[in-house]
Amino acid sequence: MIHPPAMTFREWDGPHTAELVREPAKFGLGQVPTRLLPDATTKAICGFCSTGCGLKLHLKEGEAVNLTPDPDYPVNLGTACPKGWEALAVLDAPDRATQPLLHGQPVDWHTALNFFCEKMKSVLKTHGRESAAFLSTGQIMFEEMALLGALAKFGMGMLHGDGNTRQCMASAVVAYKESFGFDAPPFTYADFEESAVLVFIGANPCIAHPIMWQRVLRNRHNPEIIVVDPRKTETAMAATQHYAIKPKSDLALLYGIAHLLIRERGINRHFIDEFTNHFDDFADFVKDYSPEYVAAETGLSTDQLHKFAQTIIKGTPRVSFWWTMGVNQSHQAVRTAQAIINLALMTGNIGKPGTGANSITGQCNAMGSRLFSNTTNLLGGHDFKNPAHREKIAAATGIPIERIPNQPSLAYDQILQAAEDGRIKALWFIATNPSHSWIDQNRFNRILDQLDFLVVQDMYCTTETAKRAHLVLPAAGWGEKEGCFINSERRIGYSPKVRHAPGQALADFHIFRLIAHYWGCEPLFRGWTSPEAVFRILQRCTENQPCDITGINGHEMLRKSGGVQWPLNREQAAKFDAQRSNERRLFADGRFYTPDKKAKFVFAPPCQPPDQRSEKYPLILITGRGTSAQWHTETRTAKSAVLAKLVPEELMLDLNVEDARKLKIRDGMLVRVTSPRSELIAKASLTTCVSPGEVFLPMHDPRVNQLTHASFDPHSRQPSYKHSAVRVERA
Amino acid sequence: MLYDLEIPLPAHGVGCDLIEAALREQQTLRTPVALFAEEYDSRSVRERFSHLIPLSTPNQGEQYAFEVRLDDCTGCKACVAACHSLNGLDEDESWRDMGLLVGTRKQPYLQTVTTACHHCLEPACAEGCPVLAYDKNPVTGIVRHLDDQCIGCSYCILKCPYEVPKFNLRRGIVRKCDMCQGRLAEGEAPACVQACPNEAIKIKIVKTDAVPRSGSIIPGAYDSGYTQPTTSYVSDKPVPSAAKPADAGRIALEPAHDPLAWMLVLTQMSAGTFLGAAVAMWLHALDIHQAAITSMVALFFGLMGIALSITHLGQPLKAWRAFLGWRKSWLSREIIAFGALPVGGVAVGIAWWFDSYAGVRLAIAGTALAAGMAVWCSVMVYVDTRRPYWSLPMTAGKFLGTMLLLGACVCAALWSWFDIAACNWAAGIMLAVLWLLSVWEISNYRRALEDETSAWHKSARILQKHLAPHVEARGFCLILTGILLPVLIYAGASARGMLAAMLLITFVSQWIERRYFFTAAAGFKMPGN
Repeated sequence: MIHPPAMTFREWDGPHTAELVREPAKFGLGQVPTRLLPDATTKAICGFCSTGCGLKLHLKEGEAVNLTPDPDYPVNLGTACPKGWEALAVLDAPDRATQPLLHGQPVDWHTALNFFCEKMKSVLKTHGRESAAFLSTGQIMFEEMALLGALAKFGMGMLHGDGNTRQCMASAVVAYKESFGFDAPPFTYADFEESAVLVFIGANPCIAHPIMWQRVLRNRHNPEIIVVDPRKTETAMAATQHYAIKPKSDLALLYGIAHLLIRERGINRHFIDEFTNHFDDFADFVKDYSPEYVAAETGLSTDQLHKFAQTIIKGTPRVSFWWTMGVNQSHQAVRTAQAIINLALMTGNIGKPGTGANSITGQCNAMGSRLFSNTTNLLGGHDFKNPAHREKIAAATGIPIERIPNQPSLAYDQILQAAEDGRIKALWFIATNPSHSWIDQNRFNRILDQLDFLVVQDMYCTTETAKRAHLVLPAAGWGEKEGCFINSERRIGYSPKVRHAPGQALADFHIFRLIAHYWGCEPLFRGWTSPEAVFRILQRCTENQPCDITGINGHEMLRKSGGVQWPLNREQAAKFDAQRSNERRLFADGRFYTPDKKAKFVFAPPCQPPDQRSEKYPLILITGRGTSAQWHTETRTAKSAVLAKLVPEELMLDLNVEDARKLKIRDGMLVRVTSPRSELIAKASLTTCVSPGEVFLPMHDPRVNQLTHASFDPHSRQPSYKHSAVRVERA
Repeated sequence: MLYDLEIPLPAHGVGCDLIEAALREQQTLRTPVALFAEEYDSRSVRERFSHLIPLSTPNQGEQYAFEVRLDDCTGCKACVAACHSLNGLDEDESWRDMGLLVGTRKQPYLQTVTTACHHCLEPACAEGCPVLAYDKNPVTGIVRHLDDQCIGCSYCILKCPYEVPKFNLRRGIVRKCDMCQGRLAEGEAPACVQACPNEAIKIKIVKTDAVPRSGSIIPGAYDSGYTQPTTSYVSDKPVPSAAKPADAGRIALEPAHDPLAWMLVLTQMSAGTFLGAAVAMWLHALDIHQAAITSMVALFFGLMGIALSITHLGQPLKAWRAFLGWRKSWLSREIIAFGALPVGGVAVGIAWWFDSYAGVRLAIAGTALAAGMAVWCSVMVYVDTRRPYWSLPMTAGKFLGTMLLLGACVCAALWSWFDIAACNWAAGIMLAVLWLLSVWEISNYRRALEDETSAWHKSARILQKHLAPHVEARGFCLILTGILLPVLIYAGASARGMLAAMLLITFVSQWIERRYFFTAAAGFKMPGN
C-alpha cells in the first residue's frame, strides 16, 4: 500500500498508525486492537495439551476473533503457552479438509457415507468382527470419543479400537490400575506450589507443559527441584539437582533410592502398614540395589544417590514425584512408573498437599479417553470381561447388553500386527497422524498401504496419514464444535463452538451420528443426540466408580465453576463450592481403590532395552519435544506463522562435543543419522547437554520416526520411543 | 444444553436431510448476548499486573525500561505469541523475539533470552532516520516509530544493532515495539508482560545516568556504548562468561538491497566522470563541447542511479521529507548532496548555451565537488552502521575506488570517440586504479578469511560459503579488463570497441561487488536460535 503524504513535515497519525490503535475493551480485558474489539466473550479449554488451560475467547457476532488466557481459570491463572495463544490461527489454514475425498476426489457426504458403510460392512461380513478397527485420539471431546467407541463396538460390531493415547500414557494407566486399583492420578496442580521437594523423572515441563512449570515457580517454599533426565534440558537447567543418568537406567535408580530410603530410615512405617500391601517383599527385593551397584548402572556417583535420597527424606511429607514420556515411553515403563509410586507410598508422600506419584498426561483429552473411549476399558473405566459391568453399562446407555463385547480391544501395536498378518483389512483413523508419529514409521506405512480400506477423519487433508487414505472425512476442529476435555489433574472442562467450520467439514460428533444413520443402527443411539445428552449418559456410566461424576450438573456447571475434578458424586456435589473445591486431590484418607482398599507395591527386575549399541550403531538416539511452539506431528502448529518463527528452521541433531570431535563433525555441519531402518540428514548442533554416546532429535520432523526402533512395554503396549541405536557421520 | 436447541437434528429421516441438518447446525453460532453476557473477568487487567509496571510516570532523568529476570524465563515463548495477538499484528509479525544462550564443553548452559526494543537512550534508529519517523518520548523514554511518517528506506534496520525494526513488506514501512505505550498510559501492562507465565518481564523506571555506557546487556549483544540500551537482564545465577548465542556460528546471507547497489555504482560512476571532466578541463585537454557532453553523460548516469534508488522505498511519495534528518542522518545528507547533481547539470547546460568555457569549467568543477561530497556521504551512511564489513577504510576504499575506476572508464570510452590524448591518460588511470583496487580487495579478503580475530572474518566466511561464484566472476572480469583487453588494444584491436567493452565489464564487476557489499555485511543482533 502506498499512501500519499500529508502536506506537513511530520505525520503523527494516519492510516498506518490507525491500524495498530488499541482501545479499551469491556469484560475486564484491557486494551485490545480496535479491529478486534469483542462484543462478547466466552470461555474455552485449550485443545492442545493436557494442562487444560482456560482460554477467554473474544467474540464478534458469535465468532471468535481473538483470545486471551482466562485469569479466573484455576489451571493457568491467566497465562498460556504460544500454542494456546495461536489456537484460533491454525483453524484458518488453506489445507483444511473442506469436503469428503474418495480416492483423492471430492465427493458429497451422501456418497462418502454410503461408501464408508458399504465398504466397512463388506469387510466385516467377509472377514468377521475382528477384521476392521478404529484408531481414535486424545484430541477430540470425550462425548465424541464415547459416541465413536459405542458406535464402532455396539453399533457397527467392531471388536477392536485403540487410540493415539497408547503412545503417551498407557503405561501410567496400567501402573495406577495395578498399584491403586484404578487409573487415578491423585494430584491437583496446587501440589506444584505446595511441595518442599519436586522430583521430575523423564519430564521437561519447561518446554512440554510450560504452564505447569509456572505453577512450580509460584511455589513459595523455596523447593528443591530434582530432575532425572539423560539430557540437560531446560527443566534440568532450572532445577536445583540434575541427575543425568544413562538412558533407560531409571528403574535401577528408583530401586536404588528405595534401598537407601529403607537403609536410612526414611520410610513411613505407619502409612505402609495401614494403607499398603507387599512392602516387605519389596524391601527384600531392593536389598540388591546397593548404591555401588546402582551407581554403576546409572552412571551416577554414590554421593549423588545419597544426596537424592536425603533430599526426599528431608522433604517428607511434602515430596511430589512427577513423570511424563521419559518414563511412559519405555520397554519397562509400567514398572518404572510403579517404582515412582512405590517411593511415594513408602514415604507416605501421597494424599497430602504437595505430594503424590503424579503422571502428567500428554494430550488435551488423554484423560477423557482413559475413561470414555470404550477401547481398552468399557465406558466409565469398566471392564469388558465383567458381566456385571456390561449389565450396568447396558442399563446406563440403553444399549442392549448382547451388543456389548465381552473382551477388550487389541492394543494399537497388536492391531497393526493383525493388519500386517492380513487379519485386519480396514482401519479408521480419527484425529491422529500416525504415518508421522508411529514408531518405526516405514513399517507402519507399509502396513497401511496393504489395507483394503483406510479411512482418515481429520481437520486437514494434508497429514501424512490422510494422504494415504482411500476416504478422507473432513472434520471440524477445536473451536468449531463443543464438548469436554479432562486434564491431567482430572479436571473436566467445557469448550464451546465459536467458529464456522470451513466448507462441508462437520464436527466428529455429527459424522458419527451420520454414520450411525447410514449404517442403520441409529435407533440404538436415539438418546445420543447432542454432546450434552452424551455427557448425561456418561455420567450414569460413572456411577459408583472412583471417577463418579454424577454430581456434575451438565455442561453449564462446568462452564460456570472453572471446571470440576473427578470424582464428584451427588453427595460431594451438595457440598461443592466453585471457589473452595477447585483443587482436590485423591487418597487423603489413605484408602485406595483395590478390593481391600490398600495400595500395592509392584516391582520387577530391570531388563536391558532391546535395541543396544553396536559397533555399527554406536550411539543412542533419544527423541522428544523440540519447543513449546510445536505440537506432536505439527498438523496444527505448523499452520501458524508466529509459531513457525519460534521453531528452528532445520532439523537439528544434538550431538555431544566429544563424539563430534571423534567423528570430525563441526557445529552446523550436515550429518547423516542412520539406523538399521532408515537414515536422514540433519544439522549437527554441538552441545554438552547430551552425554557422550547419546544424540537427540525432536520428534516433530516427519523423518525421525523412520529411525526409531519399535519395542513396547509388555504390560501397557506403549512404544519405547527413546532408545534406538544409530550411527552419525558427516553427510 | 446448547446443542440441539435451535436446529434439532431429526432423529429419523432420509440421509440427505440429516446431512443438510448437520451442515446447518455446524454453521450456526450461538447469539452471544444471552449466553455470554456474564463473562467478565473477576479482576481487570489493570489490577492483575500492577506489580509488574511502575505506578507513576518517570521523573526528570528517568525513563521506562524492560527488565527480564533470566531465571524465570524458561523458554515457553508466550511473550512472542502474545505480542502478536494482543497488538493485532500481521500473520507472522511479532515485536518480541526469542533467542538462546548456550554454554561450552566444560560448562553446559542453556538460557532462553526474550528480547524486544531496548528503547535506547541514544537510539541509532532515530539518528539514522532521514525523515524523523522516530520519536523518543521526553517523559517515558519510549522510542516510538511514526508509521505514517516512514518512507520504508530500511536504514533504521541497518542502524539498529539489535535487529529491532522490521520491514513490513505489505505496507512498505517499518514497524516496531512501542512498549505498548497506550497500555502503560492507562496503567495496563504491555502484552508481553501480561503474557509471561512466570512474570519474568517487568517495566521499571531507570535513571538515565545509571544506564550502562559500556559492556553488553547480554553475551552476544552489541556494545552498549553505541545506543545505550535500557533493557536489563538480571539473574541470581551469573551467566557464564563463555556463554554464547546459539546462532553465533551461523553464516547466513544478509538481505540484498539491489536498488541501492545500482544506485551506489551509478552515482559513483557519475561522480567519477564529473571529476574526470573537471580535471581534463583544468588541464585544457577538452574543448567546451567535449566537456559538456562528458558531463551530460555523467549526469545521465547519476540521475539513473537516483531514480533507481527510489524504487527501494516502500513509500516513495513521502520521500520529499528526506531532508528533515540532516542534523544527524548521513542518509539525509547523502540525499541532499545528490540533489546537487541536477542543479549542476542545469548550470553546465546554461554555461554551454552561453558558450562560456570558464562557466562550463566552473559548473563542472562545482558539480564534481558536490558529487564527491555525496559519495562521501554514501560512505558515511554505511560506516555509521558500525558493521565491521562497512568500516571506514573498507567502505571509503571501495566507494572512492569505484568512483575513480568507473569515472576513468567512462572518460576513456567516451573520449576515444573524440580522438583526444586525454583518452590514453584516462585509460592508464583506469588500469592503475583497477589493479590497485583489486589487489587491495583480494589481500583484505584473504587476511580476513584466515584471521579469526579479524573484525570482518564472518563476512569473509559468508563470501567463501555463499558467494564464491560472485568472487570468481569478478576475478574473471579482472583478467578480461586488466590484461586481455588492454593487450588486444596494444595488438591493434579497435580501441573504441575495446574501451566500451572494458567499461561494460568493469561496471558489471563493480555491481557484483556492490551486491555482496550488502549480502556479506554481517550485522549485529541479539542472541538467536
